[in-house]
Amino acid sequence: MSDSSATNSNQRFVRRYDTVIAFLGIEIVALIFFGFGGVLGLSILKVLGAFLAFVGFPFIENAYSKSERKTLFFRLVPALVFFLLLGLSSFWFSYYGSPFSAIVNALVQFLGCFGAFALGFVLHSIPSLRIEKVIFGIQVGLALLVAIAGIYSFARYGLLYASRFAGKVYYFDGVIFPVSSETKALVGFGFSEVSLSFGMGPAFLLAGSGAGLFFLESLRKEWKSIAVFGSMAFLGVLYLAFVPYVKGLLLLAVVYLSAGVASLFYRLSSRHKRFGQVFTRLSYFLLMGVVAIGLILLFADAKTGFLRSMGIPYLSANLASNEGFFGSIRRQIQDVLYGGAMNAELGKIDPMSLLFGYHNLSSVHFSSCFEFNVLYENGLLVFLLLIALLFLGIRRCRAYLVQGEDKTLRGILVALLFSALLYYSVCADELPLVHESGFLPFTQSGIFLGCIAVCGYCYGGKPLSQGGDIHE
Amino acid sequence: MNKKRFLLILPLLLLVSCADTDELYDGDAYATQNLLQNRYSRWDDGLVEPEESRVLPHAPNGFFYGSGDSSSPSRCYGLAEGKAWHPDFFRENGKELFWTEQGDTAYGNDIVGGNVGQWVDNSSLVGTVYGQTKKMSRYSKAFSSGYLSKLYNGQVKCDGWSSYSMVLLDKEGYGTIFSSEMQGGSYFAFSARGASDTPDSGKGRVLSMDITVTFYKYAADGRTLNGTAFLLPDVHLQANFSSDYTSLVGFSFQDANYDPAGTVGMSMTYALKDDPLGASDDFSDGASYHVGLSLLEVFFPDSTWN
Repeated sequence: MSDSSATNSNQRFVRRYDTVIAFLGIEIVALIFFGFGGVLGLSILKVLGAFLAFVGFPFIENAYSKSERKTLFFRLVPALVFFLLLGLSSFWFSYYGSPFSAIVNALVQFLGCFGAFALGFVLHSIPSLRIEKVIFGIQVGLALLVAIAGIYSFARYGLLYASRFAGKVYYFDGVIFPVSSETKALVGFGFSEVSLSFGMGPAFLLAGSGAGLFFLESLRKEWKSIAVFGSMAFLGVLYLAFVPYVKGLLLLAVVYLSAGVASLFYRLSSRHKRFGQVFTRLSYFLLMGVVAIGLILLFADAKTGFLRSMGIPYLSANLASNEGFFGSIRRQIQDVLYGGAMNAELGKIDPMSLLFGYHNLSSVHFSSCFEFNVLYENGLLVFLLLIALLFLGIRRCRAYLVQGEDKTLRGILVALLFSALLYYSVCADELPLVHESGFLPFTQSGIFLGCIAVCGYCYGGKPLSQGGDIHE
Repeated sequence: MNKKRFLLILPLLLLVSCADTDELYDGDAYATQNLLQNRYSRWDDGLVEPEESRVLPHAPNGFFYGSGDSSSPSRCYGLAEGKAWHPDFFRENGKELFWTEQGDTAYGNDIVGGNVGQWVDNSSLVGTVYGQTKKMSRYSKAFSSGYLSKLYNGQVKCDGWSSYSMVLLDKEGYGTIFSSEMQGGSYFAFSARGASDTPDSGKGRVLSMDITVTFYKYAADGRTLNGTAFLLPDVHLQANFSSDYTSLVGFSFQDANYDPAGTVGMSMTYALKDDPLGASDDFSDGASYHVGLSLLEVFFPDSTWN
């Protein structure tokens, strides 16, 4: 088939199927965020998403030239390696028991992640699909989840239960549970009692997406966006407030403050481009430096435990205690470094555990930082790859935000991603079920997959042929 | 007046009705350092212990308790006597059940190891350990909720959980109406030991208690609760030797000539018959030392409920 007939064929395909593919794509992304059907449902959605992305490839062909597609694909290679290695580690081989089960699950995981990313990319390539519809689909998925869980939670616990019943416990199975540290969540097709940090995640993302409204350019022209998307974000804020989930509200304040500062900075740098470029670059490298120093300190703390003995109020006694935020990360790094308590006493490093993830699952330690859970479950290589991808992602999101004209709407998507990054870096919970034992890894959750789909959408910059610059 | 405004009140009221928060406690409720403050003495409305009770003999056609040897505190534990008299009661799918994972020993795992007071999944012990196999929460989810779920979770001894493992009774006892109605069952049993604030901790002694267990059914009017009481005289339990030395006490419904169908509640009281140290079984009498009945678990094994 010649190039021109292929182009014509693509354009016929695009015109004929754009509405169907767009509708199905948004539906799948919404259901992913909703967490439809639990583990089984998500597996089906992974396959459907990948299939739809494959079917929607002509949209990508139509939107980008061959050289552009090649550039975009090669840039994706680190992400593809990351998706592939997410399921292939000594942790997962130990968890699934048999190599066959582990490999099958790794392939499903890869298919799901790549499919979600590609689906987001396809959706961006559909010319007739406006960004408002994508945002609407995502927010509806989250809002439904928040509304259902919220109504049921308040029916069972009452409004403001976390503060009204602070310090109170109830008995289940002869064990006491503090009522103010749990909530109800839709897990699969039923409700389960889960930790507050796990259950409030979707509400936080929904609330955080509203921070994108800081990039509003014209109140008169964009009042519909404010009304619709702002209302849905407000639903998330209401849920957080009526629990109340104080930690979430404080983090939300950080999200909104950051968005406010970022929008202010953007408006200033629009007028002083040179200053903006230099400051952006400096901030980027400063952030990398802070993260690098933080990692060095945490690994040093795993070796020596110095954070605990520093005597800094709250940090040493709480955050750095074994049950605290830094303490749990310390235990994870120790497990990964030494492969278990016995080796730790001997000071003998376990290279298998360090490179490919902790594998002695008789005693596990998870933290509330998803990045270190990835270190624990996948090893140092994948962890470093994740950190690198996060930085590349931050850079790409910034470019995506400033590139287009619809900054408010792009801001909502970027705010959603930033909210997810912040929340799950401090509030992740992979053992969230209160009355049952159940391991729900973040990298296999609907939220993670949905965020990857949004990343795929944001990755699709305006093609060169439309005046864009994919080299941003 | 805008009457539609009042329609909003109904969903708000519903949101304030707190089903999961109906039974809340302070974190240290019934678990203080003071024995007298840990007494549980709640009687649900309508439960009144009958004045007369049927006396059951301590015999194969009556009630059983512990190992069958209560000559010293260290022999007062387990289910050996019940197993000797009614071996079928202690089987599941033809397989023999044991007091702990390690056998019919006092020290062993009746729950999966974990941190004290933390919920763990004990399903791996089902089919091996008596308590986890015959526990009430396996028959109905309703038994998993509430303070008395301590008595239905299969934990038959202390395991270091101290006051969190047990329901402490004084002579006034307790009475509860179940969330479900029993349809059928073969026998009743409970795991218990003595609890005392006397200064013989670690040395211990054997107590003798007259324990009265009452089962309640609704009368024909559907509202009045009628009780049938069974007196188990002279039950020997150890106190203060070790909180892991608990005894299984029980009797078959057939031997007691009692049809369990329709049972909706139970109560338990006791009278201290003999205590070598002469402590009191009345927690409110101001005596120097007291003896309570430490109830770990209540069983209606192989029963059906609706």
